[in-house]
Amino acid sequence: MTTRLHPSDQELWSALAGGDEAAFGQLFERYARAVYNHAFRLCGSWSVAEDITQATFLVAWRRRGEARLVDGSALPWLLVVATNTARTEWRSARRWRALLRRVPQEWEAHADPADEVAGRLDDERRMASVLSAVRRLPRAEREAVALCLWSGVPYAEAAAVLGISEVALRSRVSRARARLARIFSTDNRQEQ
Amino acid sequence: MTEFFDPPPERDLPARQVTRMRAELLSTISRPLRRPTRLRVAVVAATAVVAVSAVLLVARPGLPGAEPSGGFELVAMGPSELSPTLHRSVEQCLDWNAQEPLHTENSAERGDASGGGQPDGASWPAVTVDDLAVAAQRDDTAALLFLTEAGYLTCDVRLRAGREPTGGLGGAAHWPQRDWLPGPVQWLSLGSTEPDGGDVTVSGRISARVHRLVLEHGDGGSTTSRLASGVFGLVTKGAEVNQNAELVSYDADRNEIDRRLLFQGDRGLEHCYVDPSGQIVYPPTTGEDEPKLEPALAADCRPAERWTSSG
Repeated sequence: MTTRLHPSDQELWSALAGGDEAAFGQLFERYARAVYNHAFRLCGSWSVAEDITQATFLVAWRRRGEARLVDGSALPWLLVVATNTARTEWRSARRWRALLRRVPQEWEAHADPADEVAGRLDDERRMASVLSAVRRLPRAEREAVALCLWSGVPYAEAAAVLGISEVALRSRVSRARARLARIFSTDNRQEQ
Repeated sequence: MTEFFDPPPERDLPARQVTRMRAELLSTISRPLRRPTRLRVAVVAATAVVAVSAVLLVARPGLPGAEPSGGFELVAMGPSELSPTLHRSVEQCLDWNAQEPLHTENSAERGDASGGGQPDGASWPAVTVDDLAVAAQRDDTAALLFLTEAGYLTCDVRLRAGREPTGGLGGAAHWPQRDWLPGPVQWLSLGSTEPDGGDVTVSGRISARVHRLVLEHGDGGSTTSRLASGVFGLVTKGAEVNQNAELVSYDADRNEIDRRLLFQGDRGLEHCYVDPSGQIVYPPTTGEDEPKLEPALAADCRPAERWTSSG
């Protein structure tokens, strides 16, 4: 028997559909960082982003038979799941944590270096500022910005997972850009 | 391209967090199917209610407040029915809620990712034991539902000897839909021992015309819910509730008036619901994992039903 060191997402997902927990672990390692950062950009909190990330992968496991891989990549679907988790379920992400079997506290025994903590606080302040404007967009446009501009999912792949046309998605992003320009312009004038 | 709304650069998940999260996820999904001695809460959602009556010991009758030594289930409809263990669960939930930094209605302050779309879902209300509407317990895990004049709080808590309590909170301090239901029934707290199945704990609200509420498990079995003051609660034991399980409502004449999938519930409303003025009270959703991008047309909606604590 041969073992592939770098199985494709499609291979991982096929194994996942069959209940392969090792494949799930590999998928988590492959995409946890991307989901985590995507979640942060949606909620503006690194700690909530952790909860959303875990909830996303739990949903992925539960719905492994329903996932839509686009061009062989699981990432767009995972990011859409994360988006929906963040949108309607961020509080319940805490509840999802309740169902996670807790590991011993020793895992958390090491403190963050001070500069890392300070950097993350700066991130949260910066993100809060960005989100204060982005949250004024219609939800569909807001999520299009997060998916395509911030997380870099190609338009075609994002459109396929969202179930809309690529033209419609590009239009949302375009409208969002225009709206954001107006919002920032107005805000800057008011500050001056 | 650098834009004025660019977010901060990406960061790595801290290594120890990756290890912890991965371990927790793998441990969670590795749970063997259906082991009665190890309860797993799989899904717990939102809340509501007001209280009343007596303790129901499912499958093991006993005096109110009595707790059998082995595994057991009970549904308490209000603070007067609490068992000693449920009392401790309530205290734990109140303690967690008191530790929440804000009891505000401003979602932005809490970093609510739903943004302006959910002004109702901002935070949780301050509650007391008197606000308890339903408390459902199976073995060492309890799901509680508190209802206030303006909002609601859900709490799930697991108390194990020698272990730190685990659980979580949910709800809303301000709840615009408080007076309306999406039809005759709305679950607000749902827990299950398996993803969308196994044994379930459900509580929520009913309209005045519901006189009997039954959970059909989807495998031929069923469980009848307790009803009191516009609220319901049920716990199954040793059931094989599956994804096709349905909540079935009956009126006073025993006519079936509503039937809906349990695991779709109010988080995945197939229809929208309007109040008598035609205002959409509950827009349609496709569930927690699916986007619903198109706006609802009021003409396609069903009538919302008024909810009062008198049932």
